[in-house]
Amino acid sequence: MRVMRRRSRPKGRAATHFPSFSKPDFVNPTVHMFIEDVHIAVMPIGGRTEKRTDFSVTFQGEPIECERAKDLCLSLSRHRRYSDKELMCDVVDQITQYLAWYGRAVCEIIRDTDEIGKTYLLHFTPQRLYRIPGHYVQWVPSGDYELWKKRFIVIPSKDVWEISIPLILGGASSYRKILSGLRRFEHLGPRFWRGDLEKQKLTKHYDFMEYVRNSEIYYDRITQTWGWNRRDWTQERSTEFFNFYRTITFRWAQAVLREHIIKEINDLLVRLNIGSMIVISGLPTSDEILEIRKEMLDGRISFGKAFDQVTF
Amino acid sequence: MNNSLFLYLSQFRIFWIFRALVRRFFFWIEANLFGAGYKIGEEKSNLQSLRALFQVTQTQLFLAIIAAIVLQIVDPYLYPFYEFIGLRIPDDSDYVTLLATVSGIGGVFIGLYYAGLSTVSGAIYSRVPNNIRDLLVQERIGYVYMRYLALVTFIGLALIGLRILGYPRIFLAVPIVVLMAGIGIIAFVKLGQRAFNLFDPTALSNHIFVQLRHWLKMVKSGGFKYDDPSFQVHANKQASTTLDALETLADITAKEPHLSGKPFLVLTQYIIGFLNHYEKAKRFIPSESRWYQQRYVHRDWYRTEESRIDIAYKTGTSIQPEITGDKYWVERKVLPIIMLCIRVNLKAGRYSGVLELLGYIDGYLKVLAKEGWVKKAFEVLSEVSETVIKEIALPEEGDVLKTEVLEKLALSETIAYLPISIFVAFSESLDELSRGEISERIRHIQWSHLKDIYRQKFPSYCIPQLEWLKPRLTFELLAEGRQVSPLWYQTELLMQVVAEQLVESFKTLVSESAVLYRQWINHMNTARHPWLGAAILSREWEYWHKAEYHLPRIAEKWTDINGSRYIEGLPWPDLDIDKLSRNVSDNRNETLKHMSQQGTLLTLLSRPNNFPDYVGQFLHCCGETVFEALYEGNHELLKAVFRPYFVGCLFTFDKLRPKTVSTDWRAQQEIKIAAAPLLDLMDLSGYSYLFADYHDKPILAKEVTDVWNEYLDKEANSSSVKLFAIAVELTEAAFEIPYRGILRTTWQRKVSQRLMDLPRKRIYHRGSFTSDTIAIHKSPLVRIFAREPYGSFNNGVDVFIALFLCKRDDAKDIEFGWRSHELSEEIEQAEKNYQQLSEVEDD
Repeated sequence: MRVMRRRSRPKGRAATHFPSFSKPDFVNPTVHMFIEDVHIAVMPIGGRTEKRTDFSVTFQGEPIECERAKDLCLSLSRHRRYSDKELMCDVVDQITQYLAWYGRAVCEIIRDTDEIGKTYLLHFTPQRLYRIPGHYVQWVPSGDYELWKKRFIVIPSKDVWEISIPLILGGASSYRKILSGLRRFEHLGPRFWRGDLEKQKLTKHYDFMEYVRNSEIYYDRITQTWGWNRRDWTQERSTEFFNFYRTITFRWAQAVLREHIIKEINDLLVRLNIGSMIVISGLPTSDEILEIRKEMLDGRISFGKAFDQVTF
Repeated sequence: MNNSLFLYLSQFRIFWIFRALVRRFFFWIEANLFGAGYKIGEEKSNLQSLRALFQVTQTQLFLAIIAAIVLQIVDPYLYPFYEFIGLRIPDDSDYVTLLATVSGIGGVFIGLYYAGLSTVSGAIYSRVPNNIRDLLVQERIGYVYMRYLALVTFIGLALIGLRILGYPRIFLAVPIVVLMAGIGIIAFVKLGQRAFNLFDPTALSNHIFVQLRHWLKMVKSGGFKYDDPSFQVHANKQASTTLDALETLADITAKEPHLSGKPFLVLTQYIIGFLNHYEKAKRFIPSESRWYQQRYVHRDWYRTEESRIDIAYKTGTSIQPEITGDKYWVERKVLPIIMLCIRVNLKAGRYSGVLELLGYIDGYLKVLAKEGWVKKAFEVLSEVSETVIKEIALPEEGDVLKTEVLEKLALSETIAYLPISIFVAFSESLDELSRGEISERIRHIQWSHLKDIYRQKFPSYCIPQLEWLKPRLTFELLAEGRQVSPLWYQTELLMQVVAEQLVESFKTLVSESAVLYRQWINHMNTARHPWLGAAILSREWEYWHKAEYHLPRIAEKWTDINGSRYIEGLPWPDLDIDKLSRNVSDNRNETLKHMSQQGTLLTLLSRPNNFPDYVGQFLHCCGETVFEALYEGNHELLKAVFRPYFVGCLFTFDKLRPKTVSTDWRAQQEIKIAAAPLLDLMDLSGYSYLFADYHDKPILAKEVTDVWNEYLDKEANSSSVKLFAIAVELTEAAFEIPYRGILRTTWQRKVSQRLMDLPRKRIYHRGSFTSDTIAIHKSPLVRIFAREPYGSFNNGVDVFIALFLCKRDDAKDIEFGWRSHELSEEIEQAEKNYQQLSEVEDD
């Protein structure tokens, strides 16, 4: 098996990141957990799965076209990869991670001038990115002017590949609302109470259990489409059935996301005139997961079996 | 409040402070509303008492009014007569005099009433604590009457005051005041009669139970602020205080000889009545209600949710313990009163009173069993029985007690009947516990409704599980906008609790009852009260009989509850119905063994006419058991039962036989009746040969013949054998169905049925087209009894004579009748035929 080596990172026009926006201080743990959960195991990690022995990734088309497609994908992967499975798992994971943070991901399409026909993708930040007819405009924050030496960066639309959270999961704006919603309230209590707690001071009139219950209802409500279970498997406030139901719904959302990313990459290949198509098989599809959930609701399948069938 | 808005506001300290203030304000309003409601209730009750007061005075009042009207009508016609005799029509000043008189009477009555109370108080209540004296003051009729009298007295004074101030006379006041004064005077007579009741403090207990029911009503679902912990604690404290007063009252009553009889028994009946009401009310009380006294259960650090752990760690404290309620705190307070009452009255020899009380306890145990608390019912029963049995069966020195007080026998039987009551009540309650029924009831629950889980009338042991489900399903509603956990899941979770309760109940019914019966019988026998032991044994036999009858129903119910389970890995109780059935059967056999031993003991005593014939009952049951042991080839059981049965039969014959020799037909009839146990014994002994061959267990026949040989060898003359021959001859000679002949025919029929399942071979008669079948068995005796189409005309008696008695040396010259001879020949013939048949087949 040959080792696919990624070329040295190609240079693009877009500002890839804005260091002035990064917040080294406190990251909301709920948001952090949600983002992490969304992108973990959308595809088998490292392409390895024991349960799904029939899992496969295929590049269909002429060998030369497949090579072009792989080179394109390779530009998005983080590490060198040995197989198609590893490559696509890494690529999908990478794209999911971008989507998980911002609800959309943008990449600059760079056509290699040295090797005719080779195309690469360079991910850049979707922050302060605006779309105008025929172009994307990046407005560089003043704090990052020194780094990028420009106030505005204009990139033609034909050189940008954009992918968002699928509409069935609410689209990018709805996803960002979820993130801001999760960020809005602290799970463990309001700021004043946490302050009192640190000072070993008893807060009068504050009802901790009621606050936590309400916050959990709130988190579950705003992530209802995704079915995120807050990594909570206890039955303190919900039934075992409800926990499994949410978990399976979350697996469905991840399957939807995976299918959407593969479709968007295939659309990009068509757009870039690369005569290859990526086909993934052997993983539970979103429709299959919905059917499993229905079977569980009807009591035709045990919780354990249902869970087993949606994971890999 | 909207969930997001709540969270938004909750970020500010002021919100929580404001919220606490609002809550406090509403609590204040609710507390006042509660107080007002309580007062309204009190006033309503007072008005009812007043109405009762009017009711008891209405006859006299009506008569007085009629009399006044008659006088009023007649009065104008009497004016000439007044003038003739010199009577003066009263002038206006009499108006004031009349009112003053009425007020005076009122004042006097008030004084007299309190003087009476002081007398009672001084005589009876001087040495009692305050809470009991309070009962006297809170006596409702007297309290209402005093208030009424005070009103009448003051109205009179007020009217006089107005007149003195120069206001005109109120003509209407005269009849009204007179009417009110009339009620007061007549009621005083009635109240005087009631005053004697005040010498009995238990008569005042009504107030205690009214109070208890009031506080109980408050904590039941639908009661005023029933879900508010503050109100629950208040109700608990008030009820606890009231129960303390009840305990004190019971102590006083028990110590006073004139009160410890009927009054104490009546008080205890009221207590049991309240307990019945309370057990049913528990279905409607939230399981976490502070009405139940609180107990702490400490959590496991590694099983507790993170938020609690986080707080505990950050504050350097331990995790807050879980609080559970003591569901039996009321029972713990009142059950000792019931035991005290039983003890005191039994010591005083008031058996009939205790017997009546046991009837009430029986009702309470039934309620417990119907509510599914079988184990609790047995705990109460154990306590009651220990108290009763210890008192009625005091250890006797020397010989066994030859007779008993009849009431003691009745008490023993009643106590021993209580497990049966529990079993039957529990069995009846099983009808409500089908999976379909429970699912249907859950379907009707509106989970967002606060009280709905209590409205569906689930057994009280289901309430905690429903309460566990409620917030979780509400959580789903709030988070998902709909209920996600399906009906089958909810049903299964509830069925888990039902299954656990049922398994515990089934096991208790089999194991605890056996333990209790053994304890009781052992105590009776150790204390040398065989008749009381027999009474209990007789009921125990009934218990196991009923248990065997109800077992298929229990199995059916268990299949319904245990079947079609959805959730894998859900902890589910295990119940082995076959094991349960074996246990019942073992316990039944154990009872029979005891019956046979107890029967032997009782044959030595003469039975008073008014005692049930336990010996007869036990002997009959033992006979049936001997047959069952032979039928099943159960040597152990036969060994345990046959010898006592043998002795019992001989004793019974001796007891029943006429003591004088006579040729009178009546005396002959008496002999025939007395011979019945001997014939039973011989019949069963004969079947021991048959079943020994059938099961290929010669030890069955040996067990029987050993006992016979031992007996006949000891007698060492032919008269004993002759006795059995006479018994046979008496029944064969007469053209009638012998006494107990039908019962023995039942054994014969069962034998035939049993032999029907033997393999058979068809044989054609020589020179004929007709054929017959022959049972394939090596024993000629078995083949004879298995003969087609009607089996054998012989019975166990014939077998016994042919194979045992006739072969004894001391029976050579004794004639046992033609049938036994025929049987011997038949056996020989059957042996030959079988050999020939075997030879033909070999050829």
